[in-house]
Amino acid sequence: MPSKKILVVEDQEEIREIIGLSLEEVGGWQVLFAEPGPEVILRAQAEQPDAILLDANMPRMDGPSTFQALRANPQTQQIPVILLTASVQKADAQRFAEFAFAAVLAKPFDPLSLPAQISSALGWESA
Amino acid sequence: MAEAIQDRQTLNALVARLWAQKKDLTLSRIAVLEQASSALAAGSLTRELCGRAGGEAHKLAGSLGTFGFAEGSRLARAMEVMLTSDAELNRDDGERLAQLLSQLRSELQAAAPSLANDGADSVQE
Repeated sequence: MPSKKILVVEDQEEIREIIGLSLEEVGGWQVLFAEPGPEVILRAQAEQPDAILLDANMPRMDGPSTFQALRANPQTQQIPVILLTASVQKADAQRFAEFAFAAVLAKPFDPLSLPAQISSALGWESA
Repeated sequence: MAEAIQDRQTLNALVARLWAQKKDLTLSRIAVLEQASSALAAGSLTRELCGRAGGEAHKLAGSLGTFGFAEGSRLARAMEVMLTSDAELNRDDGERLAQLLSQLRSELQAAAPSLANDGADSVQE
């Protein structure tokens, strides 16, 4: 898998760490973390990651609000954003469909296949 | 850069180590659910505690399955549905919640993370 830089935004500590483990150890990627809120935009602007993995349900700024802020900024609007969510109700899926996420992935997820899921969603497999 | 892990056994060992480090977080989330269960049984569950417990159940549903506890994730999801429903909760719900919590505790005590990910696969989109 080609080397990538991923910005992870997840407020739940144990999930954040298992994502880091998965993307670093299985994907072989560089992983950066940002606290939920305005820091995400600043970090994305400064680091220009290849993708952002964004939790849906967070305090201060939730996933969709963060996504809108990223899209409103010319320096971050082109970065693909993948939403990670444990909200599996139909209404949640309909709400998320209103946004142009590159993909919506469900929690729980398999740490062994998460990098492949991200690669597949972003068309990185053939890169 | 170290070679990427490709086999489940090696990853499972790392995940199990992480689980051991983070288990207290899970137990603290379960403690909130136990508070809610006791309050519900006593007829004194506040909206605030119910909301907080629903949030913790949501987090457990997402994290337990990722750590390989597929059944634990299912039980947490059932608690989340109960605690976030619009319906007024009664003492029968309190008993049901206590049962789910007891099952969850047994599940976590009995099973080392299998990481078979049958639970994770079942909810992938």
